[in-house]
Amino acid sequence: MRAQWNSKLGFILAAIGSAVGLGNLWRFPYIAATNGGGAFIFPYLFAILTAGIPILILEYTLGKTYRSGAPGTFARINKRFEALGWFQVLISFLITVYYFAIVVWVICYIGYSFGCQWGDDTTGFLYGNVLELTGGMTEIGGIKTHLLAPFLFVWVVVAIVMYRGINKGIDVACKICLPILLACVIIIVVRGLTLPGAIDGLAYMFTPDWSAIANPDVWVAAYGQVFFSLSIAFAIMISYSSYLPKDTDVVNTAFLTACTNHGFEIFAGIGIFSIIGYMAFVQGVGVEDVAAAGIGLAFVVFPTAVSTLPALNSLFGVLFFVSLFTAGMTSLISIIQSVITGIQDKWEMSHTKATTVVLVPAFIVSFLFITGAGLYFLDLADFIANNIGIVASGVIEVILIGWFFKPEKLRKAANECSNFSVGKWWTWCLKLVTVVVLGYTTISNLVSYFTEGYEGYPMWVGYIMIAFLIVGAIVLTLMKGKPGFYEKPEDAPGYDD
Amino acid sequence: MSTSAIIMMAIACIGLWGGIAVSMAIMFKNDKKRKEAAEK
Repeated sequence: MRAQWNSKLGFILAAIGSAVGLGNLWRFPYIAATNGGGAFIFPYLFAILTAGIPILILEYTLGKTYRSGAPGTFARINKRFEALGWFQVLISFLITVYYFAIVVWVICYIGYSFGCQWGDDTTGFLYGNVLELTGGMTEIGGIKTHLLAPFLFVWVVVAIVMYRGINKGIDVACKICLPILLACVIIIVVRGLTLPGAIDGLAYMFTPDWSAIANPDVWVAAYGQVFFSLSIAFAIMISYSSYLPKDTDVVNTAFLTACTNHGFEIFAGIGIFSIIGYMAFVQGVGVEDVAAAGIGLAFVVFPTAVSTLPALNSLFGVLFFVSLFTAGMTSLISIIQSVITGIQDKWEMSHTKATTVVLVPAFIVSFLFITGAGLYFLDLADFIANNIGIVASGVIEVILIGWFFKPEKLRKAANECSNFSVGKWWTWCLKLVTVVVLGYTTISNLVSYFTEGYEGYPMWVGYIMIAFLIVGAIVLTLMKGKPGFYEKPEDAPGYDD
Repeated sequence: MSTSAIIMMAIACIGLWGGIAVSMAIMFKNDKKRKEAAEK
């Protein structure tokens, strides 16, 4: 009998935990500020309504209706669609192996927060002391032994959660992590807003540049942010929703997940950029001179900001990195679960066996990302997974479901158990809006990568990663699964119905 | 901070946090109805 979430709350917290990740804290504020500031809010809200929520409804409905992870769900719709599911699962596997490294660095920085051990040169500290970065991708530099203890700690915690399964593992982990995350961010926001210069940080993020509305790149950035932020199109939400009871209201759940995810990133952005604004004020520079995103924001800019706080520096450093840790962990376990679900469903393995089959190779490969060249591999893998893998997966998903399958069947399935029905706008959002935006983004990213490469990294490494996704998906599709894997539930709409 | 920046921040916050409130209200109302139906 398929496992089920203990309660609706358990699923909602898990879905929110999956969506709320590192990107909510370190990506959104900078993307907003550099794409029109306050004017970005309009394309952002529009993207949430026309892409984020429709695809969430789609994936929740698919998982709940076909009661399998991504490969099984697509196989049950049409056997020829199965490869897409494995493509998504392999993207998740690729993300898993490098995500561990980021969580390891976060744990290290929780420790470094005591006494602000990063000193004045936070850049040198990160690249020299923590990462011991080599000169290039081909200089592996060996495993960094000072990272081994936190690395093993994260692996032990993750293994415990994953082996305990959906109810005793993921459900419990999310119920612990999300309140801690919220509490930490509330304290950061309150402190941030009371600092001098906070207004400058908020002004940088929210002052509208209306000319940005006419810039197509801003709309692409908005859709990209929504897409990456919501954990859609790489098997997670289909996997999670496959453990839902049949009568779950997926429409309202999708709205709740999207609003919570994006509401949280606005809230966190307010806190983070308030503190960045304070730092700029203290340094006597503009916010634009110090603002950053991603690893630069988390491990270089924000530690500097923490050092400049008037009091309780260590506490705020700990709070910030604990928030990154809890956000990262809830996302990481969801990514891993999507892989486990895919494997478990096709070969009807026990949960323990499927978890072992996934975690052992992931453990071995993830050592690469705590070597001296780990950051280079991480940067490239992240680029390939997100800018090529997920966008391609997303556009293929909406084309297959929107244009080859009949989305009206899924709309009917979603509305059967929903408190408010989703109208035909949903179908047109999937068939037109997301296909156009994702299609443009996919083609543009592919052309850019194949003609210009990325950050000067050797092209052959990127090709290997892309080949892993495509060839791996084909191989896993061709492998024979148990007969039940292809049988759709009786009440699920068939391809030829 | 300009008035337009304040307005945009308010639109973002009200739109998204308002959405959370509405979704949660719908969820709790539905749960209450189900409980009452189950008791009957």
